[in-house]
Amino acid sequence: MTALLLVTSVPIVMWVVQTIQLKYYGLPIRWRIDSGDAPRAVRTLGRAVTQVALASIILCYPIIKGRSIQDYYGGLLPPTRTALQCLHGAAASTLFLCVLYIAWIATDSLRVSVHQSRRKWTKRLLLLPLTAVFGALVEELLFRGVVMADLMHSKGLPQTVAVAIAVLVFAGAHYVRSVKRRWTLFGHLMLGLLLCVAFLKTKTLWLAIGLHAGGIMVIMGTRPFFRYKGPAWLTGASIFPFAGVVGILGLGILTTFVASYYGRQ
Amino acid sequence: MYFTRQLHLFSIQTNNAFVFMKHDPIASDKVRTTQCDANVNKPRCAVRLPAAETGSEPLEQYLREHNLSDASRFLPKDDDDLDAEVRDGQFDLVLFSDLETLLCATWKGEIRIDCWIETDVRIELATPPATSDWRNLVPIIAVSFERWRKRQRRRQIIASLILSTIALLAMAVLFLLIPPME
Repeated sequence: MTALLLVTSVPIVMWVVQTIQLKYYGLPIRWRIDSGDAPRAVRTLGRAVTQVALASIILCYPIIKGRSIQDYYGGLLPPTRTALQCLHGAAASTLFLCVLYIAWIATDSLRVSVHQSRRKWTKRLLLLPLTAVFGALVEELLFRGVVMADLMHSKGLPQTVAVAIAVLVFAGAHYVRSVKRRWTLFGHLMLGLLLCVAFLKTKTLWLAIGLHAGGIMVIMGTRPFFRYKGPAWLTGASIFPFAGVVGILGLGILTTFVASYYGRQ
Repeated sequence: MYFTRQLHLFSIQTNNAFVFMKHDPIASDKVRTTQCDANVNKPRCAVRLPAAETGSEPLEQYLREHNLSDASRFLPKDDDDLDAEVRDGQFDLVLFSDLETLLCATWKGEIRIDCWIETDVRIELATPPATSDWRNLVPIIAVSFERWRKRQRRRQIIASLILSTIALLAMAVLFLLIPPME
């Protein structure tokens, strides 16, 4: 439960920092973490503080548990042949998303047109591998490497309950800040389940990182060129193709594949 | 669907600009009145820039002539923002460089001309078509729609080819390159 306490402290830190900044700029206090129409500095500093808080949890958790950082994460990311699971995971999520996109194009539910400036999308595509790996690594270290690992080692907590809590924490974390779309929650829950099952079955983070990074790569790589036309509840929207009904079903199939393929070993 | 939606529009040519409105005499009068008022009070104008540089000159000339140089400019990629702001009542006038630009934006589906007309926004063209007869406009609209559909089909084919290649590579990694784990 140590990890849960650490993770729940992050929104509190985010809110306190936001409140101090709003006070500084003479703006009214907000109960939600929302820097929408506040000065740019409020959002920038808010994001920086969030990243620092998350990194602190990742680095401090092993020390709190009386282990060295290298030893703890070395066990979750063993430099053995199992590292190939990362490639396996990336290929699985890439295949899933490509099939989904092809289906939407074939049914005219996705329009292909560039809707970002050339400079912007070139920069994004060049930084994409780095963004995907970094994003996936941080989230997996935190949500699977710290939160789920801690829950699984909690005495008296059944494995299914540990997975359920880890899934809820992962999905809930995406809605701590004020967001434009809330209907994507079910997609995040299903994605959380896939990543938790990947960790549960392999006992390492390689597969989960691969699945996550592959997904980010495809979604962010296609984002400047695709516009959704179909109903959002069916096709998903923006960076959430996995949050439509078909996407959720697809994630369900992917989760079953991961559970059965890695469950046999 | 967009093609048929546009056919109920009736067009008139006024002051070197093309104005689209519903084929409804009352509504037409209303729009004309709005135009007269707008000439007295400077209208809040949005300019939808063309995809190519070639259409920019007539636009700028129109803006200079009508003292609207400070109008908000929207790139083709920002059509959804333009649509949202127009429907939100933030503009009285939207200027396009020519009919083809207006039609292309409509075919894309990101602007809803029918909703704009309901909010009494004026839609003008810096370079209006040579004809003002709706019968002559039909083939122009049809050609524009067919051209847009061809372009869209080509893009869809290219996107599908790229995605299929990536999917096949992913399948190769899944089933061929990585043998089952020990």
